Amino acid sequence: MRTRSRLLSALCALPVALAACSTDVAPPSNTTPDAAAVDALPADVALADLVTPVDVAEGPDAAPKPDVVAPADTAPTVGPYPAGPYGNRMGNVLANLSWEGYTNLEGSAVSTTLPYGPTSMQAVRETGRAFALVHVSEFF
Amino acid sequence: MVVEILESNAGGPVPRTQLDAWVNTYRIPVTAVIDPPDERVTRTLMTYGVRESLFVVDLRTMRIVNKYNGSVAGVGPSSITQGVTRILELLAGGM
Repeated sequence: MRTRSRLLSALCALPVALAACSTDVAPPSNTTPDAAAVDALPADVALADLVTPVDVAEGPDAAPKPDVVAPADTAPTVGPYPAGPYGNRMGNVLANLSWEGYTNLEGSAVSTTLPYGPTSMQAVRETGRAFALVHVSEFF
Repeated sequence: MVVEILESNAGGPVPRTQLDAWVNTYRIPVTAVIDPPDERVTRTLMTYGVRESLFVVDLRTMRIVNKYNGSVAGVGPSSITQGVTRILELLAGGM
């Protein structure tokens, strides 16, 4: 349980550390006595090293909690693509099309240096960006 | 988030080689795509319309906030040039 206590202390100390970034913010009143001890841990102590199966139990009679299992399809939570009717005029909902090509979110390299693959307007939504500029060009 | 779509080659589908040539010639540093060549259709051209157009899209609703059409003759301001003020306004939090 000492290990668990150290872990909890580390987690509780996190807001304190963040608050310390501001010179005007007083430390929260719920600072735990162990926070200083956690600060004294060597920097190379990994968080995983502090966690053991013992941490799961809350007491001697408590059953271990099951691991949290992620759903099979863990897509970003932007929801389904908006329903139609679709159109290409101002105020219309733009249709969800599928393409292939180069996805380049950072803009720091010529796109052909990046992987080639499928994408779609729904994938554009899933970037989490607020707006997209969609530009259409043609060869003649 | 910028998406460049090369939607046709003389009215027909665009092969990947032309997408590559386009990106390399202009050193395009944004997402650049074509209709899936295997489908052999110009779906984007049929759905989004002809060049040279810029859609400003709210990705939460997928509504076209603004649309700008540049000159197909290559003269006059491009759609991007026309829309840049609005784009900056939106990114700054204005509607």
